[in-house]
Amino acid sequence: MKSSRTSSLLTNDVTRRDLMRLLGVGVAAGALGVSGARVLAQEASPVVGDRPEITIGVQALPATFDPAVDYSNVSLRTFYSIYDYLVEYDYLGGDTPGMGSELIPSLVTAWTEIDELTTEFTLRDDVTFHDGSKLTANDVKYTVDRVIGPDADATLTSFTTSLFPGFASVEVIDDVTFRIITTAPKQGLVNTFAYGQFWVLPQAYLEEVGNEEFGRNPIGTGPYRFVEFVADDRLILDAYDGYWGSPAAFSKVTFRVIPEDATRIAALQSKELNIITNVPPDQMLQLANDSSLVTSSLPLANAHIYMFNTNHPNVANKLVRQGLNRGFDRKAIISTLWQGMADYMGSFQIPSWGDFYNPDRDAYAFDVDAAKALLEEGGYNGEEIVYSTLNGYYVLGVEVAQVIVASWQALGVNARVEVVDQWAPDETTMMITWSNDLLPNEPSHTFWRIWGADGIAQLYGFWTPQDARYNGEFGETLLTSSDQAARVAAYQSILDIWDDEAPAGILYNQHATYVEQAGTGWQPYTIYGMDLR
Amino acid sequence: MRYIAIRFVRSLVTLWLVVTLVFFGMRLAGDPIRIMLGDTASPADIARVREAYGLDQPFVVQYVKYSANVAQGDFGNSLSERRPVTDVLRERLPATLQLTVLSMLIALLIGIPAGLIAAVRRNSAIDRLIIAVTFVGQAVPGFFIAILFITLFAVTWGLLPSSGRGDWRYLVMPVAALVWGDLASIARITRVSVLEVLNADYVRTARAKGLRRNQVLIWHVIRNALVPVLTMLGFMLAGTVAGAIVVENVFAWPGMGRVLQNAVLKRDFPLIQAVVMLIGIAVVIVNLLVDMVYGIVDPRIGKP
Amino acid sequence: MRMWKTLRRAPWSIRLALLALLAVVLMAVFSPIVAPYNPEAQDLLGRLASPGSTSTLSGYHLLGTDALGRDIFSRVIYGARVSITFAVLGTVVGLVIGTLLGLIAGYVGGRIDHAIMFLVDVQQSIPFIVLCLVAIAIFGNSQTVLIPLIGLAGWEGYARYARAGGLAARNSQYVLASQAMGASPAQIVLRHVLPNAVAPIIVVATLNVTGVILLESSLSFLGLGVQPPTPTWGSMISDGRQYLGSAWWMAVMPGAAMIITTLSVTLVGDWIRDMMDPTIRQR
Repeated sequence: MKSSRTSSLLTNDVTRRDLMRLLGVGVAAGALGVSGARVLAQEASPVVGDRPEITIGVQALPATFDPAVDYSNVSLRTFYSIYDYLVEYDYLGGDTPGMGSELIPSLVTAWTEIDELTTEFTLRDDVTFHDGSKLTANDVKYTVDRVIGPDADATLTSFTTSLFPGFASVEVIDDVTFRIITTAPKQGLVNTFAYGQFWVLPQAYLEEVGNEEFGRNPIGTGPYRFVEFVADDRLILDAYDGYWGSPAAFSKVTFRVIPEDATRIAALQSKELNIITNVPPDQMLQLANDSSLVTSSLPLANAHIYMFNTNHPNVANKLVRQGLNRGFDRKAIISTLWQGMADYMGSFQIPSWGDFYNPDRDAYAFDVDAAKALLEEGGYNGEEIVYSTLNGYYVLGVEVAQVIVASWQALGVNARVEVVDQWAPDETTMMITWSNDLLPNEPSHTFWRIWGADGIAQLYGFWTPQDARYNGEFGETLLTSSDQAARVAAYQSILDIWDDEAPAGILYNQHATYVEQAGTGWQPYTIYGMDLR
Repeated sequence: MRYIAIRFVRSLVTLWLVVTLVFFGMRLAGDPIRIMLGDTASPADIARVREAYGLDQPFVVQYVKYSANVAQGDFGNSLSERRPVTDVLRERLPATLQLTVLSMLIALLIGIPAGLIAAVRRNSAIDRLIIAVTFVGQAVPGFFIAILFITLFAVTWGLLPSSGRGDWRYLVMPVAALVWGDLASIARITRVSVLEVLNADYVRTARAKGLRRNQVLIWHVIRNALVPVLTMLGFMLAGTVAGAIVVENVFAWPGMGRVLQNAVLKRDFPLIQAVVMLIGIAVVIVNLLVDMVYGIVDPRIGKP
Repeated sequence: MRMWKTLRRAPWSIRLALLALLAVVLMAVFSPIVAPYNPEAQDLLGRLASPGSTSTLSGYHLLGTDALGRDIFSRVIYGARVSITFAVLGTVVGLVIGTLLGLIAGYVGGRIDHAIMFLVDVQQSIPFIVLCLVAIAIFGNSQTVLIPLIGLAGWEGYARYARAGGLAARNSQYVLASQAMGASPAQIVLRHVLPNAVAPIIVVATLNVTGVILLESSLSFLGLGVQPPTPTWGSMISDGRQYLGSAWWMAVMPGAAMIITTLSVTLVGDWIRDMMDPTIRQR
């Protein structure tokens, strides 16, 4: 049965993207003191020389620009300007700007399902890489094979087995057509190419200069071109005029590394920077009072959680885990420590997942009596519970750890915090902080990728579902069935088991925080990537 | 001369021992592959990459390979930056050199006279004042002073740029924040040793002989009082680099302190070993120079 | 008796410093009695309260509260415990080991001297952060590990002076005479060598005490120090540094405590040293 999904490009471009770009150009020009005509909303196209430059203060920059080597929130931020995905989420669409979740074309114009194992994609034919060479389907095949194909290079470190479970091959039909073939029917396949790893890379250039040189002098199809990188100091990009999509809003972008929060904020206040990232909630509040600055926060496509080691005797009983999960007040933490800049999650689900989201599901409702009862029923007898948290990696991680442990102690639990400087849980770990991606659209490419049968969590061996249907019929249905209603039902059953067996506890869905000079007009998205178009 | 040559060789041996200790110690302290792959990699992935980098072999085997490479001038590739360690160091060394050399120079130029004055006017108000002032700068943690400076001079008064590296204006605050530690030490050591010398027999004799006070002071006292300061110079350098870690962090100064900190956090063995070697070599060179100066300054040393 | 007299002749600044030190030590020893609240008691609704404010849940806060609503005054008091413990024990560890090794090196000389000096060189060449990390990774970062570790950060200072003392003594008349009379090396060292080395060692000790307290603060800044929620001045300052523009009391209060303590130690140390130096004592 054929189902085809296409989308019109025109309406998206002219209305939203143009507006944002023009806002960016016109108002930023004013803010930066560049004397130029004020650009009104309906202007056709700005003059290239009129575009301002922008400097963004970040906490860190990646060490290399090869997406197959560096895959982290740090790299995603800047790669977004240098490379493109095959498809995108319509972030500017939807109710909240930056949170849109509908899949729209990017480098591909359309995709159709040929059969349940094969999906055919059609590429744009007007895309060029920064060196002028044309994008073809061969580049796509090369990009994918490089990391998960049969001859994948083992030193490309972000090649992980959970990247694309079920991948079989990429078939090139002609210059603008290719097919992705999987070993089993895979719902949500297209989502895999809207986020994460699969920025499209130039085969010819890469093969010519080799991996290491590419990592230092990358070339992509994105709106900005790599100019210069000084490790741990700055990254400079300039606008690429051959870009196929909405033109870059700025003529030059500089990312400056300022690891210390206080210094980064100071640099914004002294007008040395236009935008800063990763601002702690308390400081956000303070900066909101400054009328020359604009603060914005929106939920990140990521949640902070903690994962249990269900093999450890002290937390082996699932009732104990459930009791711990319900034994502290997440909402209080959100409203005080996070100043409201985090969202409560009742389980592993977010509203943008539509039918998959069940607003009545709440596994974490704070209830002291219920928690105590669960602990007692689970046979908790005063054993030490150690909550391991990474130092300085997760925002407010150590502070929240102390609040949680204090709450547990109030329940009578012999709990303590352990701060570690490496994420290396082993058999002595009882629970450790972690983060999981919360990608838009639907759960199979995000929840299942992590907690599913071939997902990291189970691979670590810290948990195996006791209910066999989790990996079995429910998992299968979620992954492969084309009946949406069946998938939704399967996911509910999966979450029922997940909540009951409690291999983890979700803390919250934290917000990404940004502060910019008033008038910059930049809109953040839910992902780490910054869209500077 | 022979004495200095012996010292040199001994220092190199010490250096190599230090590097060896660090080599094995760091490997016991953590796993860079784990960190490289982040928290989304399975144990199989980690094993695969570890093998590709040769880190799955026994430590001793790795050590032998490393030693052989170093002997040929190959210090390996940084695991986190994926390029030769020498490139990384070459890029970032000048920034830290600028900071530490300037800071130590200023500390010497201000600290020695300050210690001198404090000793000569011992127990007076000026003595206590000098101690207190140099001391306060040392007692307050580096990042505290640094952030205070930034808030005052960059944000509130807009006089200086808040962070990063550029022309001379960017140097002012980082050096000002870094200088206190050495300043205080140098002033105090100078003060103590000047005090001792002032009351030593031969000085009293010289004064008794009727030499004018200033002559006595400048010639004998300073020469002998300098000795302890010079002794500590080499190792003060290592301490200053440690202080630079914090200052570079707060001021986003792209130098070696940051390199070391990140390397340690990421357990980037080749880079850590190379930085330790570099610092060690710097200390050795400074100590050698000091030894040579000794020969001139203190006539008691250098005689067979 | 003589000590009392010298105390009375001390300048007012020294008397003030001694008083301050006494206060800090008392705070450290009697923390549970002196502190108004449990230093780990959180009050999320009363976070970042300014000094002198009263929170409905947790009462009056003389020095304000921190990011988790804990009383800063109580935490400063309990922080004194950690700092004093580190300062005293850490210095003692360094002093004892350093002086011992130095004395032996100077007095015995020869190969042992070379070996010990070699150790000094090795230790001074490793950046302390690397040494710390290795030690913490192998032994963990409980206080029982951290104290000796930090103490060891300065042992070579003592060793050098002790060694100089040992060297000088080796050739002095006293010692040769004592040896001739059959005194054991230990007796000689204790009786003759040690007293001469004491004065510079005290100066080194006071220099190091401030160093020890600062080191603990640096370790906290890098996340390697004493584990939360135990309050230490260093970690409090580190936690409070991003609030300097808003809740400045979080960092300034423990900072002030640290400065007062280290300043007092320095002044008193210098004064004691001056008192003990026979060549300077006439005045």
